[in-house]
Amino acid sequence: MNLEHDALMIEKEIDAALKLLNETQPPAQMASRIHLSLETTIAARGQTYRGPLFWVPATCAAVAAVLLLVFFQTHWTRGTQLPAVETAKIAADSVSQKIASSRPESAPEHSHERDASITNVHQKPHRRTHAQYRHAANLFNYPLTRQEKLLLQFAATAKPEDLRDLNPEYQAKVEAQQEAEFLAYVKSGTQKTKTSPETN
Amino acid sequence: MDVRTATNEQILTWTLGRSVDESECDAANLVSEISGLATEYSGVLFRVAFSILRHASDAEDVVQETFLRVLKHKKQLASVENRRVWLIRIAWNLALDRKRRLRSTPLVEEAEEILGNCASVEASAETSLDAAESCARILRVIDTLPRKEREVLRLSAIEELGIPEIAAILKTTESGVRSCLFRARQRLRERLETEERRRQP
Repeated sequence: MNLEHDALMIEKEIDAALKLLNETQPPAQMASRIHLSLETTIAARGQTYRGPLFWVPATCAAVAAVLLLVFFQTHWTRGTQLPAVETAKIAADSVSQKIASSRPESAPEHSHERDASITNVHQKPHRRTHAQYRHAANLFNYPLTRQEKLLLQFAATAKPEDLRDLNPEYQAKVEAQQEAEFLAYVKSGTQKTKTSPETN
Repeated sequence: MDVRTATNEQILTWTLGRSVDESECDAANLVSEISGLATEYSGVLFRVAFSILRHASDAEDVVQETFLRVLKHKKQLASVENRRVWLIRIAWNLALDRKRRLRSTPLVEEAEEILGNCASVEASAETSLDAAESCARILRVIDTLPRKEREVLRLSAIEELGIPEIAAILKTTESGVRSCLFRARQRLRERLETEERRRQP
């Protein structure tokens, strides 16, 4: 009997609790606060929606300006920058000129002045080529190829005798000399063939 | 101008005293539509959120967040069949999400919250507080029930919601809701009895 009474009481308590929960009312002005927050959100979205309309042309102009800058910079670089091969030739030329100017004509092949000049060239290559490589600091330069790098490395570290071979004037001189020697040889050959039947 | 036959754009032009563009008109339509929903359903949404959170300001935040979600997914609004169930489901999920992040509050504080937001306070203040404390205690025991049972029990407390709507909110069948509700009440009664026995010397 007592247990049944307790169960009934508990059922009543449950119903009362659920009823109380059902009777809860929203705070005053909640609906108006919701309206306000909705209007604020929509207004904010409207402003952010209008934003891109103004920013689109500005962004396009900025992108176009950057592209133009890149284009002109690249062209300027390509136009004014000497290729690595040319740079190496200039370096070789300057080395040979330096050797020629520092060595007196009467001096022997392995004089002290020549050695010092060569040492100086090998120790401080940056001084020699600084002006020639200045343009290489450009941001939009194309990276050097492996061959160009090797050529520059060669120009900076090679012996003056090897660099001399890159000088076109020297090459022309050598070629002319070789041709003259060849002609002299041919000339002497024909003379010998002409003279030999007489002797026989 | 005849207001009954006028378009929204014409009404806006007339009230604002200037011509309105299409976006302004759409925004105004949207605000009026969602405001209408807020006026109609904010009460039931508050009760649903309050049954889980048992804190008025948190429940209000949930209701507000619900309508902001509606605004965010405004394109879906036209295709929704039962807007009430759809809104309650949004509020329900938001409240559950918030409940997970909140710390538990003392029983007295919960009772005061229930009392503060209850419409029918007929008896004396002391009796009301006792009833509110008893309600808070029972709601705490409900929290310990299995998930499905406690969800059904909470939603069944809201008289505006029938069995078909509860089934739609919880994505289950009506018979499933009925059996779950029966089991939930039985289990709740057992636990309350056990608690009562423990309290008695």
